[in-house]
Amino acid sequence: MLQKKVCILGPTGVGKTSLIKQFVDGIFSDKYLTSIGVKIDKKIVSDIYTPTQLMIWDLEGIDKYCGFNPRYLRGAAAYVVVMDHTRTSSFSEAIEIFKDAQRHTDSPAILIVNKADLPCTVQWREDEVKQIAGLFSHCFHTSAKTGQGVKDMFTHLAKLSTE
Amino acid sequence: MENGLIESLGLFDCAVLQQSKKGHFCLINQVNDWIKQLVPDVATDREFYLPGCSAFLDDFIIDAEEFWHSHQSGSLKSGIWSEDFNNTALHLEAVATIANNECYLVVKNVAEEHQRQQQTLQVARELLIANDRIVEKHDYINERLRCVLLRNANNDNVFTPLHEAIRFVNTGVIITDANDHLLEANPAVFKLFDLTADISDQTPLTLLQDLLKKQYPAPLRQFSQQNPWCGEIYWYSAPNQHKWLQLDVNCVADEEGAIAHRIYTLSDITRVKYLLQSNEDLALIDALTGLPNRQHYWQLLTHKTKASLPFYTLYVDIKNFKHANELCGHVLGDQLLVDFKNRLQGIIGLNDTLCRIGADEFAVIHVPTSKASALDFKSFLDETITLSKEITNSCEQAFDVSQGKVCDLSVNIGVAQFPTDASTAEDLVRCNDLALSSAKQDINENIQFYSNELKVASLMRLKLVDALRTAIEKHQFELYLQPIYDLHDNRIIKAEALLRWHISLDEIISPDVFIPLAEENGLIISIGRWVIDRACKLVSDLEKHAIRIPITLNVSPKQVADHTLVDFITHAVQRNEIDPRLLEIEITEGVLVDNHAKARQFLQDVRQMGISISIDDFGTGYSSLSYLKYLPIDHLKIDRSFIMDLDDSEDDQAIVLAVIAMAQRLKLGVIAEGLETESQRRFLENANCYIAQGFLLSEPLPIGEFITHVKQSIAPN
Repeated sequence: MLQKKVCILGPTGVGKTSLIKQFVDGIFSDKYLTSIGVKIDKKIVSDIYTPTQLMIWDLEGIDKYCGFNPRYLRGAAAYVVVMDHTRTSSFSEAIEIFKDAQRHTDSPAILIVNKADLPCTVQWREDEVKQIAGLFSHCFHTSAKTGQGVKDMFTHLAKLSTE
Repeated sequence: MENGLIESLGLFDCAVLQQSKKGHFCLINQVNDWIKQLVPDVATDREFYLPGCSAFLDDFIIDAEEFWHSHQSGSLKSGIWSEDFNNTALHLEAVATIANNECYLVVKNVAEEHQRQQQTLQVARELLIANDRIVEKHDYINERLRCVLLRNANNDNVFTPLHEAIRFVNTGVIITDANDHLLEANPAVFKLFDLTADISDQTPLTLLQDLLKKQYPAPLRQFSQQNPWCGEIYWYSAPNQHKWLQLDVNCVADEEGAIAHRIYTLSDITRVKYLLQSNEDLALIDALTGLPNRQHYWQLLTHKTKASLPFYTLYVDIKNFKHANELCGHVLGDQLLVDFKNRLQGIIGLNDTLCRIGADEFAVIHVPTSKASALDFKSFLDETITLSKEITNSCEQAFDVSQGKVCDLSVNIGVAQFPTDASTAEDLVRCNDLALSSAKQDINENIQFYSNELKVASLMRLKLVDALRTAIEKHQFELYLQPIYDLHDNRIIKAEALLRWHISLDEIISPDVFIPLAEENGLIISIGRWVIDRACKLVSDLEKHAIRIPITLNVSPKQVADHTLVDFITHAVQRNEIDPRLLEIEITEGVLVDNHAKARQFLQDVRQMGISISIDDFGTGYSSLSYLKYLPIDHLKIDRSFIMDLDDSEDDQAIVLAVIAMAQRLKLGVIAEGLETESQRRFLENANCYIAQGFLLSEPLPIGEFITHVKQSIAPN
C-alpha cells in the first residue's frame, strides 16, 4: 500500500484536529480542545486509482505561543492550510503560514475554508479571496461539524499526493 | 543504568536507547514499559531496528543522525508528539544526545508537561480567539454604521434603517450626535447594563458616560479629535452585578470634517477577563511583557501622588510600530516588544517602575536615585534628561527579529514631573499626553518635557484648528501653481497646485503648519475636496486661456482612506467638464504603506479615469519599492532634500542617480523637486533628468501671475 505523508497547518482554533477526527473517526465535538505538538493519524483512501494510506500530521496551531516548524513539513507529499471563515484574522494568518511553508517545500497545497456550517463573517473582498485561493492547488469549503466537503478534500489530497 | 540514578538526573519516566549502528539501538534503561507499545521489538539483551515503529520518531531520527554525526554538545529535542495505543494517548518527547562518544536517544513520557501546556494554552488560545472575535465584530459594525451614516449624511430618515440594522445585533451599539445626545441605542446595550428600555430612568449612554468619566478621565479628550478609541470599562451594580466591557468609540465626520456622530460599540468581556485572571492572574499585568498594565499604572500613580516625594513620569511611544508589525508579522512584532521592554528594563533605575500602558506605549515612573537628587530639583531634572536620552539611545542598535532579519525602532518620549507639573494622577497623565504629542510632532526633538509653553502652544493649536474649520466658508484658501519645466527647452509642461491659507489679510499660515493639523483633525477631507474641485476649475479656466497642461495635486493618506473620494473626483471632473488626463494625483510612499489595500484600489480607480499618478517625496518614505512593479504609477518625484545637497553630498548624488536609473528602467517619468541652483540643474541634465520644478525656475504663483508667466514663456522673444 502506498503511504503518503500530508500535513495540516493553520492558525489556532480553525478546526484542524476536528477535520481529521471527522475524516478518520467520523466524529465531531463542539468543545474546543487545543492541540499540543504533533499527532499522526492514518487512514486509507481507497476510492481513487491508487489506493493510498494517508499519514496525516496534525500540527499544533501556529500563533504567538507556537511558531512554524518547517521540519515537520519534510517529506510531506502535500499539505493543507486551514482557515476559519468566521474569523477574519485567521485568513491573513493562514496566508502568512502558507508563505512560510512555501519557503520550505514545493509540495502542492490546498486551502481549506472551514466552519462552512456557520455564517461567514470574513471581511475580505471577493477578488482578493479568489486571488489568494489561486495560489493553492485547490480550495475547499468544509465543515468538520456536518462533514461537508471533508471526505472530498482528503480524497483530493490523496490524489494530489500521488501525482 | 540504575533507575534511581535516572530519577536523580531528573529523567523520571523515560526509555534510554543507545545506538549500536545506523537505525539499530539497544534499550539500556526503561522506567515503565510503555516503550513496548511504541517499539514492540524493544529489548535489553539484544539490538533492535527502530525505524518503522513511529512515523514521528522516524522523522526525528533523520535530524538525530545529523546531530550525532556532527558531534555537537548539548542535545536535540523533537518537541512533543502524541501516539494512540488502544484509545490511550501517550505524550512523548525524544531527545538525541551524546555521552562518552556514544549516541543516545532518550524517549520521555511527558504526560504532565503535555497536560500543563494544554491547560495553559487552552485558556490562552480561547482568550486569543475570543478577543479576535470581539475586535472583528466591533470593527465590522463600526464600518457598516460609518458607511450608512456617511452615505446618508443629508438624509433625515437615516435612523429608520439604522434602527433596524442594529436592532438584532448582539453587540451593544449606541449612536449619538456630535454633542453626545443619544440618537440610537439597541436592545443589546440595554441588556448589557441590565436596563429595561421603557421603564429605566437611566439610559445606557448616561451610565456609560458616568463610567468613562470615572475610569478614563484623560483619554476622554481624545474622543473629540476623531481618533478611534478603544478600552475596557468595569461596571458594577449593587449588590452583585458586575461586568467587564470592551468599548470602542468611533467618530463619523461630516463633509466639513466636523464630528457628526459618535458610535459606541460594547461587548461583554467578563468571561475573557475571568479566563485571564484564573489562568495567569494577569488582571493588572500585561500578558505579553509581564509588566504592570495601564490599570495598574493608574493605581501606582494614584498611590504615588498621595505621597509628597517628587517623581517623573516618562511616556515612551515606539514610532511607527505598526510598520514594524507589518514588516515582521504580529508574532515577531510581539517578540520585538518584549526585546524593547528588556532594553528599557536594563536602563531604568532599580526603584523605577516600567509599565506597558498601550499597544506600543510604555510608561516609566522614575524616582530619584539618591538623596541629593531627591532634594535638588536641578540634579533630579538632569538625571531624568540623562535617563530619557539613554532610552532613545538604546534604540540606536537595531533589534534582531529572526534569522538575520533586523528591525529599527525609535521612540518619542513625553515627560512630566510630580508635583511641579501636576499634583494628581489625572493631571499628570494629561501633561504626559501633551508632552508626548508635542514630541511626536517635532521631527527634530523626540524628547519633550511638559512646560507651560507646551500648554500655551497646545491652546494655540486648538485655536488654529477652530480657524481652520471655517477657512473654506470664509474663502481664506487659495491655490498657487508652481510650474514644472522640461529643461530641454524651458517649456512649462505641467504645474503643481499648492494650497495657501490667508488666515487674515496680512498673515499666511504655512502648509507645513496647517496640513498636519488638518490631517489630525479629519479636516483634510473637506479641505482636500475643496482643492480637487478648485484644481478642476483651474484646468477649465486655463484652457480658456489656451493653456492646456496637467495640474498635479496632492492627496493625503486620510483622503485615500475616504471611500467616497473617487466618486467626488469623478463628479468634480464632470462638473467642470475637463479632460481627466489633465489631472495628476500625487501621493507619498507612506500612503502605500499605511493603507496598502485602499491605496491600491484608489490608484487603480483614478488611473482608469485617465488621471496619472506620481509618487511624491520619493526616497524619503519607508518602502519595499516592490509596489513600483505592480501599481499604476507614472512618475517619481525626487524629494527636494536630495536635490538640496547635490553640490556637496556624494551620497545624495548617488541616490539621485539611482532613482533616475531605476525610474528609466521601469519606464517611469522622473521629476526633480526643489531645484534652486544652476549646478543642480547641470547635474540633473547630465543624469538625463529633464523634468524639474523649483525656485530656480519659478516659485509657486497666484493663478493670474501663473497665466501671465506661461504666456510670457511661450511668447516669441
